[in-house]
Amino acid sequence: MTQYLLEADNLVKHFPVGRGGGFRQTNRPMIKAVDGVSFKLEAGTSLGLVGESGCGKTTTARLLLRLYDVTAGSIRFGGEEVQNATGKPLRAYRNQVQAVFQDPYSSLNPRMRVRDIVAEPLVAQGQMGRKELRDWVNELLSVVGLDANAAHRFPHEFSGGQRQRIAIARGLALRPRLVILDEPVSALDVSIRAQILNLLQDLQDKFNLSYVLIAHDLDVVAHMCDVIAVMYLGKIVEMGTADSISRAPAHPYTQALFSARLPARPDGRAARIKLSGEIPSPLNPPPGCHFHTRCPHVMARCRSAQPPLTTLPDGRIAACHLLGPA
Amino acid sequence: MNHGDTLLQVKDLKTHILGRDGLRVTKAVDGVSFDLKRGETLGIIGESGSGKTMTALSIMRILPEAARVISGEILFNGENLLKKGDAEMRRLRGEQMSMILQDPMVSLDPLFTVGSQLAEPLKVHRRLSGAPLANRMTELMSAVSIPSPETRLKQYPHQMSGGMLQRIVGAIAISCDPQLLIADEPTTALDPTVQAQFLDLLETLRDSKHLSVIVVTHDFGVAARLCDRVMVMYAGRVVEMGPIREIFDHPRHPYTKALLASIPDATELGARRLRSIEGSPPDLAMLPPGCPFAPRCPSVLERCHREYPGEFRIASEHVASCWQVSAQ
Amino acid sequence: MLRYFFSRLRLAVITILGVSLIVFVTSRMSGDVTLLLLPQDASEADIKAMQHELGLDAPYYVQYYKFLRNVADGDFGESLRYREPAFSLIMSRLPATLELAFSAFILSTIVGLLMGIVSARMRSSWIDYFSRIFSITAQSMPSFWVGIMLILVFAVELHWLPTSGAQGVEYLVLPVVTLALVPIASTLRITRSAMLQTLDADYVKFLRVKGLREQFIVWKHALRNALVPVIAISGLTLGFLIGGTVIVESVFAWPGLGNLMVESIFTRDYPVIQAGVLVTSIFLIFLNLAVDLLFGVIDPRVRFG
Repeated sequence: MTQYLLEADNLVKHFPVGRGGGFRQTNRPMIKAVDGVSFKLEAGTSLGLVGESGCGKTTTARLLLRLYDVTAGSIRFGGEEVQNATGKPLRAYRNQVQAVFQDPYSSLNPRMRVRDIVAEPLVAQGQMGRKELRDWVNELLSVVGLDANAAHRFPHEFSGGQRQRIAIARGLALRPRLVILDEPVSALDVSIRAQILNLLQDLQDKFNLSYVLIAHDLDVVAHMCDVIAVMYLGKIVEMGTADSISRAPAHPYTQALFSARLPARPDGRAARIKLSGEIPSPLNPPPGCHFHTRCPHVMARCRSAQPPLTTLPDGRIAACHLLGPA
Repeated sequence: MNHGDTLLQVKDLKTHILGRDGLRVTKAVDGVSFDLKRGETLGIIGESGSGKTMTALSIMRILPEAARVISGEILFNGENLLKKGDAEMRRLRGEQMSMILQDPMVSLDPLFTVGSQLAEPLKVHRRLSGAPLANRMTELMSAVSIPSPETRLKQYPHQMSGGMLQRIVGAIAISCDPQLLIADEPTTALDPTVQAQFLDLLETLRDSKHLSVIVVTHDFGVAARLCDRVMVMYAGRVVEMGPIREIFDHPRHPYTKALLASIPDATELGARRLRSIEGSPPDLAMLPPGCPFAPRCPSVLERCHREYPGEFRIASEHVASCWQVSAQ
Repeated sequence: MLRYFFSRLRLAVITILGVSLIVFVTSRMSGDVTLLLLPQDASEADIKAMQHELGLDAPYYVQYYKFLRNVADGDFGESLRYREPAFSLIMSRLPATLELAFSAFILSTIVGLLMGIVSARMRSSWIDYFSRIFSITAQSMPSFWVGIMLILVFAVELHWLPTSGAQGVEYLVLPVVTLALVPIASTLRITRSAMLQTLDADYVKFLRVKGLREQFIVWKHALRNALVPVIAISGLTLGFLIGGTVIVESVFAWPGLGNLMVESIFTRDYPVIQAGVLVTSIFLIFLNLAVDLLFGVIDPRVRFG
């Protein structure tokens, strides 16, 4: 049996909405931001979460980072359940799971020198001597491709791409095993993106890192990830190898999403699957299959019965009545 | 008046931004020339700081306070926009030339209904009111495929999704049937399926209203989807310009080549590493002499550091500014 | 909008109860009233009798309940000094204070808004620099000193205006100006920065794209957006003004609530102090309620939130 680094089982996160006014909290409406999400991730591999705004990918990432508490479900990390961990086990978990966010301008404290930014998680932990700390920070900076003299400078002296390198160096300081990448290149200039994506891949190989990558750019996700999970209104609708998902998407939503990709070439203006309507509110998702209101292949059954995730012959899973057992 | 095929002609445009101290001058646009034919869609591709948005704002003459057009000509239907008074320019804006901004969520005033904001240009430029105004507004809302327009017109921006707002922004932009529409990163803030819907809409509007369109984008995909011709900008200058297929099939400038090669493509997996461009875009207030791309260029010549390359014609419509190109 | 109104109203009621509780508790904490009322050699039995008479021997919640009922009837007890009901004393002085505070509020809002708009529109011009220096200066001068200086210049030297008292409109000018100076400065600063931010916003850029006149953009769209933070602080401004009258009324011998409160504090006239604090608090709470509602009127995001 494969030992997975990360196993998310039936993750659920509900948020109460509206100013309930304080006293009666029980009957308030709930947004089912994440509604039964399960996946497994092996060490040294990458999982991509894709979907449009409101699909729950960012909430899922925050659950993994323990920034939110789960409403239900479990997160296992190295075989240990961590979703309710507190105190020392929680700190140990957080040291092994780091995050790199979209905006390298706001995620770095402008008043701190780069060496202090990178060393901050280590200093907080307080287990390293000064000399050891300085050497490790210098090594981290060189690993992410920055000069040693960058250590003494402030974030505003760097370009967007370099700042993202600093953020990555900080993310690696505690030698994590899992890094959550939330839109790591979408705020960067086009000519810089490939640098950062290559760097992330090099670091993955070097440190045997696992990534959970969130990005709206499907090409970036397909390029970076081994497995892609497509989410729609809080649920995974399809999950499989990056290759199978991007070459032959099975779920109608995945098909539509990938066909909405911008063409790589001018003659690639391929036939697109046009979706009608807008993404429904996660506050009040449609009954049956959540996607039925926009699905081009909708059948009577889709409006009432929610399709279960079923395994297809090539090993991927998808939740659609068209694909399931008849 | 007919000025032949050409709607817009920009000649050697220079737009500079003056620093607060008055000393630091950022050469945001530094000698840009191009033509736009009637019915044509031109893409201006560049990164942040390439001068693509400043070029667009210069044409619309809505530059921020610190920015000034230093020299050049912008001929619209043969008339130089830079010579026009504010009042005259205002009459052109919104009526004959219009623009769509990047983020629909902040493009509309949050305190007024979308209806009142759609009505504004129609009242000012077309002097519409009463039933004709209401009819025109409903018509525009259906032109951008917004269901139940009467209800939507009474709503406020925060009650709508980004995709819907961008379509309303589109409706406002085309409300007076302009000849020129500039779209500045019109889909960057939108979700993929919504982005695709909006690009479809833009195409439909362009064809049905005979618009000439300038699409400002950092994304070759958007250009590939919409444009007839593209112009690639770097550090305030045009580095390469040509028909869309030419640029994709035979890019000649090292910057264009490198950018095209650095984009991941989901349909061509397997190549583990992307080709990346080292370094980062230059500071426009401290440009080195010579070609601004030289420090990052993989095929740099000694000459590139000294002299800025002129424009070299590769084919009838395909030009590039590079000493390598001239050498071949 | 109605839901919004009721949620604000409920908050207002809760706040009033809170204030009444604070007033009640502090009055019980400030010493035994019976000792003040009785002669020093009063016997233990006399004290007990007095406490019973005043209801002070009942449990605290009973006392608080009675206190609330009396307050609801406008009964705060008698002034120890004037021997008349504290409440009617307060109400007879309140109009003069409100006249002062509201005049200063109107003045500071109009002048602050105008100066803020002009300052933002003509950024880095001499008007802008003047406004900024003015706002720093105005906020750093104590109002009693400003009041005395104004009296010296305009009343004593120039004889343009009366020194003090309240016999007509001309008596209002100096105290109102003194009182309004600080809120003019704060309104100016908030308007200026809100206006600068608004004029920089994308929707203003898009209004220019539409070919609208700059004046129209500034006065219809930008001003309304800039008003949002100004309204947000106007509740605070009013509170500041009503509190500020205490000093200004003393300087100009203005026959208002502020003066009465100062006197009452010196003479330990507890019923009057209690009544004054509670009445002004309730008044301010309702003013803030009105401000919140105005907020809802001007900003649809609040209304439909």
